[in-house]
Amino acid sequence: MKNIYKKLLLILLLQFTLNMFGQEDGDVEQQVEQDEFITVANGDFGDILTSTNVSSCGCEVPDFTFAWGSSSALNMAFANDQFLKRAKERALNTWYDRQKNEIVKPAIESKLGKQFANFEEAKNALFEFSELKNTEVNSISPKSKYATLRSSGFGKQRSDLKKLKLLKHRENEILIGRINNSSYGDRKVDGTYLKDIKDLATLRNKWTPLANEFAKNTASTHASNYIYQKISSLGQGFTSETLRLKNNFYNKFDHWDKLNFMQFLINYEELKKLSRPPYAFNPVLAKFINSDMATSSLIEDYAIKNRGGGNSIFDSNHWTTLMKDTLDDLLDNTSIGTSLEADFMTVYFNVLDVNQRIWMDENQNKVKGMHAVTFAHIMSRGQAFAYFFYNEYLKPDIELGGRIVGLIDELKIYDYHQKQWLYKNTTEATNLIQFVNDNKVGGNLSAEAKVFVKQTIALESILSNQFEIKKTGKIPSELSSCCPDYVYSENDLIIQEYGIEPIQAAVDGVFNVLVSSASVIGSEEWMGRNIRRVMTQIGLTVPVDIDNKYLAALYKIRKRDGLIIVEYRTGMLKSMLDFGLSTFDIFAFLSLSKGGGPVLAAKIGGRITVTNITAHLRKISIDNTKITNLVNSLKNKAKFDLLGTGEFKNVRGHHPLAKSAFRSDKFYDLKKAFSISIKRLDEIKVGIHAKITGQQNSLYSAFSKKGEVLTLDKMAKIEIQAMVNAGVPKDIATGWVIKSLEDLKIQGVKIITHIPWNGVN
Amino acid sequence: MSVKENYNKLGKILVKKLRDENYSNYIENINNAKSITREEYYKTPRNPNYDKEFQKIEDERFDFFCSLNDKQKEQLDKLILKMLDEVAFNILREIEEGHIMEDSISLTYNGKNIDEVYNEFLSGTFFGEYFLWIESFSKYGKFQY
Repeated sequence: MKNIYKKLLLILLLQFTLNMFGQEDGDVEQQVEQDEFITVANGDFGDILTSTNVSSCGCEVPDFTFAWGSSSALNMAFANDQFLKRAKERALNTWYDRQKNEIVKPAIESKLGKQFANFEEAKNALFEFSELKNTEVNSISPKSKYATLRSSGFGKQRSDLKKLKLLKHRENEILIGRINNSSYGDRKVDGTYLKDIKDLATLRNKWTPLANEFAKNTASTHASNYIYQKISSLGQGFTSETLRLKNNFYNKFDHWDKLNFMQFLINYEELKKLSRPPYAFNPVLAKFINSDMATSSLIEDYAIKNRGGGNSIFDSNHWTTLMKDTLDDLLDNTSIGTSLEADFMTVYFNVLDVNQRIWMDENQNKVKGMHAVTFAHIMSRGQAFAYFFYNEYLKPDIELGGRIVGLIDELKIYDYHQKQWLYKNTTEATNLIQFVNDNKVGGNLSAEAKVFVKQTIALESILSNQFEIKKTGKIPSELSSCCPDYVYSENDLIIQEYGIEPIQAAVDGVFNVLVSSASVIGSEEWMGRNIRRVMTQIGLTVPVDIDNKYLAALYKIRKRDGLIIVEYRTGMLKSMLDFGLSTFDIFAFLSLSKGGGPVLAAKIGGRITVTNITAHLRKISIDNTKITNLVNSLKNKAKFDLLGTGEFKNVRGHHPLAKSAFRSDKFYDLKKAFSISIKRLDEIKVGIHAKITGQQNSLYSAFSKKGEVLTLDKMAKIEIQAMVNAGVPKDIATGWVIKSLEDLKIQGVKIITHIPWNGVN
Repeated sequence: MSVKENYNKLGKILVKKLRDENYSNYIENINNAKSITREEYYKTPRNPNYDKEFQKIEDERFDFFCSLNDKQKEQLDKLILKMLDEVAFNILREIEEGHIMEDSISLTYNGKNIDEVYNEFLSGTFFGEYFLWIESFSKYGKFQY
C-alpha cells in the first residue's frame, strides 16, 4: 500500500511541474482538490506521514521541504504552500510554530551558515541576503547604461574642448593681425577651415553654439559619471532601504502567509542561484511575485537621488562668470595636438607641415624633450639662441619625422607597431624613403617595390616585438612528393618548419611576395640579415662567419600557416636529403672558419647559388659506379695483406681513407670503417702511424691549396701516397685503400663532405 | 667563449704541456751547459743540502752536454723533439680511441664533454689535429720524425 501512495504523490508533483506556467485558476483549484483528496484521508494513509518530510510529532500535515541547489525549488515551494493551506484550514498552531522555529529558522541558518537568536533575526538576514543578490544582478543594466553615457559624454567633452581651443587660438591670431597663414589653418571646426575664419564676428558665430553644447554635455556627463559611481558602490543605505521595503512587503500578509512567504523565499533563492531573470514562477504563488525589491529601476532611481558630485558648474541655463572662468581654465589645459608641448613647438616655431605635426603628436616623449630644451634655452640664453638651436638640431629631426609620416601615409600603414618601428629606426626609415623615391616612375611607386617596402617594415616590426616560436607541422613544399630520407631531419629546425608567430599582429597575406622581391633593390644583405635573425630566433646557431649574401642565396623567408619561416630555395632540399646532409652541414659549407664560404664559392664557379651548390654536391658525391670503376683501376696494382686489419671497433689504428672526409655523411660509421691496427703498422716500421698521419696532413693541405674539388679517385691517390711516403709498400697500401673503398660501398656513404685537415670540400 | 676559441685554447694547452714546456726545459739545460766552461761549472758554489745522487746526475749530464760538438747537439735536439712528438701522438691516439669506443682514457675540457670542440677538428682526430696545433702554436716547428 505504502508504495502505491508514494507513486501517486510523485505523479501529482510531476503534474504540478507540467502545469507550472500558464495555468488558469480553475486548473489550480482542481489540482489542489486532487491533492486534498489524496492527503485528507489521514487515518488511512498513515504510512505517508512516516516519510522523511513528515513531522515526528504525530501531526498529519508534512513539514516544509527545501530543494537545496535544485531546479525543482519552485515545485517544493508549491508543495509547501499546499501543506500550509491544509494546516491553516485545521488551525494547526503547533504545526505552525514548529515550521517557523524548527524548520524555517534552521533552514535559513543552514543556507546562510550562521546561527540566529530568534526567527526575526533569521528572517531579516534572509531578506538582506536576498536583496544583496538582487542588487548584484539588477545593477548590471543601469551600470552599463551610465558607463556608456559618461564615456560618450567625456569623449564629446574632449572633442568640443579641442574645437573651442582651436577657435580660441584663432581668436588670438585675429587679434594680433595674423589673419592669413594660420598655424592650424588646415584644421576644421564644424566644417569650416580655421584659415577661413577671418574676423571675430564669424568666430563668435562658431563659438557660441559650440560653447553652449559643451556646457550642456558637460553637465549631463557630470551627472552620469556620479550616477555610475553610485551604482558601482550603492552602500549600506541602499541595503537598509531594500530591507525596509522587503519587510513592508512581508508585513502586508497575515501570519500564515508570512510563514508561507518565508518557505517560498528560501526555495526561490535556490531557484535564482541556478537561473537568470526573468525567473520562472508558479501562478499559485502569485502573491509573492513582487517580492524582489532591488530592481533595476529602484537601483537607478536610488543612484540618481543619492549620487555625489553635487551640481556641475555648467548646470545653469545661462552663462555665468564662473562658467566662463572654468572653461578658460579647461582650455588652458587642453591641447590642439596631443600635448601642450607639441602645441608650443608648432606655434613657436611655426610648424605648418601637417606630417611634421602628426609626427609630433605621435612621438610625445621626443617632443616633450624638445620642448624642455627649448624652454630652458629661452630662459637662459634668449629667444635668438632657442631659434638657432631649433634650426640646427631639432628641425632636422622634425622634418625627418614628417617624411616618415609621409611614407606611412603613402604605404597606408595602419599597424601601431610598424609605425613605432619606423619612428624608432630612423636610419632604416631614411633608407626606405630613399628606396621609395628611387623606385618611382612618373611619381608613382611600382607595385612590386611597394609590396617589398611594406613587407620589409612588417618583418622588421615583428622581429622587434613579441612573438612565439612554433612549427607548421607540415612537410616542406619541395618534399611533398619525394625524399624518404626526410626522417633523418627530425632535429633540423628548418626542415621541420619552425617559425615565428607574431603576438600583436598577423602576418600579412602577401608576405611571400617578399621572397621574389629581393632582386628589386639587390637587397641580398637585407634578406640574409633577416634570414639569420629568424634562424637565430627559432634556435639555430648560425656561425658568424657565414656571409649574409650566402644565406640569402640558399634560403628565403616566407609565410606559412600564419608563421614566418625560413625555408630552402627550390632545389636545395632534395639534393641535401639525397646526400643525407642537414642544415648544420650546409652551414659548414658556408662557414669561412670551416674552410667554406669564399673558398667554396671560388671552387664552384665564383658564386654561391642553389644551382652551383647542388651541382657541386653531385660532383663530390659517391656512388657504386664511381667506387667500382676506381677499384677496378687499382686492383691490378694491389696486394691484399689483411692480417691485423678489420673494422675500427675491433682493430683500432689507422683509417686508410681519412674519416674526416665523410664527417657530415649520415651513412658513414667510423667504428665500422676499414682500419689497420697499430701492431700491423709497427711491423712495417715502428712509429709509422705518426708519419702516415703527417703525410696525410701535408698532402691534403697541398691539394687544398690548388682549389680543386676532392673526388674519390683523388682521395685514393693521396691516401696511397701518404702510406708509401711513410714506408708502406705501394701494393699493400693500394690493397688497404681498395678495402676501404669497398667498405664505403657497403656502408652506403654518399658524399665527401670535407678535405681532411682543410675544411669543407 | 666560442667553440673556435675553445678549440684554440685546447690546442695551446696540449702543445704547451706535451711539447713546448718540456722541450724548452731541455734547451735551457743544454744551452746552459754550452755557455760555461767545465772549470767555471765546478767552481760554482754547491748547495750542501742538495741530494748527492741528484748532483751526480746533473754533473754527468753537464759533462755529456759539454762533450757534444754542434752536429751532435743538433741531432740530440731533434731526437728529444721526436720523442716528445711521438709521446704526444701516442697519448692523443689513445685518447682518440677512448673517445670513440668509450673504453679507454678520455678528455674533458672545462669540466665538460669534449664533443663540441672535437667536432671542430679539421683532421677529425686528436692525433691528426696535433699536426695543425703545433704548426699554429708551437715555438719549435713542425712534427719531428
